[in-house]
Amino acid sequence: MSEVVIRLENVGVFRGVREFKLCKGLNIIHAPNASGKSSLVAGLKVVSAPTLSEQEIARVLNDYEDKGSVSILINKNEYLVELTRSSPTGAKAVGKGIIGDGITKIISFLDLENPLVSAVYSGDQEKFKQILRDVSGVSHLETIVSVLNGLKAEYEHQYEIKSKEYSARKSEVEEELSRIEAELRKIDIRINEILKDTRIEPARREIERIEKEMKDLEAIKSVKRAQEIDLLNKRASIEIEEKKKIAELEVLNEKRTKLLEERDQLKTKVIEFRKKIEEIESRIESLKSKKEERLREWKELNSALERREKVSPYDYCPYCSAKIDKEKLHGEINSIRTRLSELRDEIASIDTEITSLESEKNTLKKQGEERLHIIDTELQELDLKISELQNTIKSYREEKSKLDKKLEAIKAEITTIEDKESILKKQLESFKEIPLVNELKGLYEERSRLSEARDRQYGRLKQLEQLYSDVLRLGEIISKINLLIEYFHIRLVELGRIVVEKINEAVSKHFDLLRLAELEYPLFTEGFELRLTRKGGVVTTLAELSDAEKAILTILLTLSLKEYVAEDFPFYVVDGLIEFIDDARAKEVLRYLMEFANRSNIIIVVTKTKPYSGEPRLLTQEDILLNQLVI
Amino acid sequence: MEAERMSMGKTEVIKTLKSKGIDPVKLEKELITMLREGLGTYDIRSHLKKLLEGEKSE
Repeated sequence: MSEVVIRLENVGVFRGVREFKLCKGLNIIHAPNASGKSSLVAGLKVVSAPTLSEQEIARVLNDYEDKGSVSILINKNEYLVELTRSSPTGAKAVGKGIIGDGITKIISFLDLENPLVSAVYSGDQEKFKQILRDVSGVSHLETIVSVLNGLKAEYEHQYEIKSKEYSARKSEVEEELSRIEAELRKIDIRINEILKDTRIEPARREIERIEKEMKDLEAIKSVKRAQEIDLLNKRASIEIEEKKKIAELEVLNEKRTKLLEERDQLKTKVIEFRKKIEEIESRIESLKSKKEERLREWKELNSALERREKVSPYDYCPYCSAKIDKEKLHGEINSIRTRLSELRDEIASIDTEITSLESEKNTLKKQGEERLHIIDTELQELDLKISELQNTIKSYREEKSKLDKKLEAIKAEITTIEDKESILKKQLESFKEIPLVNELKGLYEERSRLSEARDRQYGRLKQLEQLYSDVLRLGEIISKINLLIEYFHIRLVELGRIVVEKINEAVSKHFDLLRLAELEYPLFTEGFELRLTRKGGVVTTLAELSDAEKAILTILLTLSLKEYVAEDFPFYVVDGLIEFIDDARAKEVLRYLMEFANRSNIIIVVTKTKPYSGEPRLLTQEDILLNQLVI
Repeated sequence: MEAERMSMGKTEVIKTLKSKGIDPVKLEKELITMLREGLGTYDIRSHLKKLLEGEKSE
């Protein structure tokens, strides 16, 4: 990059389009007050840092214009930002700027709006430290740690609730299971005793067969019940999800109905709105031509006033040698001044009226066609979401229907097993005259009831697995948060020390500036504490520095920070500060900046007021001096 | 010595976090950029929650 072209349209004092060229090296804008030095810098700032506030952008735009733009051509790449007044005190910037964050604004644009400059000039070391912490990212890391601590507390609370619920429910199920298992064991012992009893001898073989088949059937039934419970659990989860999606769908459908109603109503109103907008536009046009007329009159009267003021000290006109009637002349001057003041008020009131009409027009547009367009877009998005939801609900229903079929099949199998059990019980009943058979039959019934109860409890245990996986998931999240907190703590300690070391190192490279500020190295201690030491070791504070020393210190620090966080940014701008430095040191500072710019391949822009007593004029390319030390 | 120990600790933490699907160095850059662009703690919290709950893989 050897040069850049900056094109300003309706920026600052410039109305219409102006182009300036800035070259690699030191560019001193040496021009009179109110010629547009700061306007050029403002244009450069708005295209470099689009994160400016609406008020800052409004100050960039020319007072009489509602739209403007700034473009920069660097290495055949064009960066263009368009400015639009959004309210009487605010404006928006839209487009492609050079960078996206707010740091460069602080370290590469040194003007009196810069918070770092304000902190130095007000001697506010705390604010200064805070800005450095922001620029280096330390305060951002602290914010991240604080957010992580908040999240940790939230997840730990959830973890505690879920794990308590899991433990309570699990121990309840386990107690019930152990009670059932104990009863089942007692029944099995009693059945075995009966089977060994000699009193059942006449039907022993038959009873033993029935017992074996009963046990086998019970085991198969248990497996089938487990499958049934599993399918029921799956079906219940799908049903929960389905209900959630149905609720979502209902909300979207209600929203859709409301939007359709609003669209129908709007369609009837839009024609009315269009007519109103046309009326407003024609009113704005007539106001603009009225304003142009008033501006023309103002210019004519202004030059008439200047002509009269020029000849007023003379008795005879220096141009035509005619005698000047002083009384008449002063009368004319006063009446012109009165009219000029009236015109200024009139132009301001026209501007106010135009702004209010523009705002009315925008409101109508927003209420009318723009709203219609928004509704159509929203409806399209809604239809898409509704269709997605309908498909999801459909797939849930299909899945449920498949599960229902499987459940039916399992239930049928269980019924078959129960039928077989009934047959076996009937067979046992045929031996009822044999002692103990009635008791045996009762024991079989009790065992069957308890087995079913045990299977249900196993089913509950399976349901608890879901809750347990939630507990595990929360535990894993907490462990990740703890690690992240540890990581960011390490980074905080690192940054607090390493960044300070790096900034001190960068400061030491600008030793000449340090000498000019009459300060000694290093400037910072750990934690970004500023330690200012005069030659000979006398400790001083920001507030005790002279204005010139403050200006040099600000330049020194921002150059050092720029090297650390925005080395590739092509500009470094000093607007106004150089005026605070006495001529001898200012010349040395400028020489240093010139050498730095040439060494670092960047464009440094410095504004310097040129003493001037002539007619006010605007900045031209000739006022930008390249690598010339103007003092 | 302390710096060395801290650096070793950081390497271990990064390695463990990466094994859990989080790249802390990348995350730090993302979060700092978000804050520098003017986003607030609510956005940082949402971003972290999405990451921790696995809605966004690093």
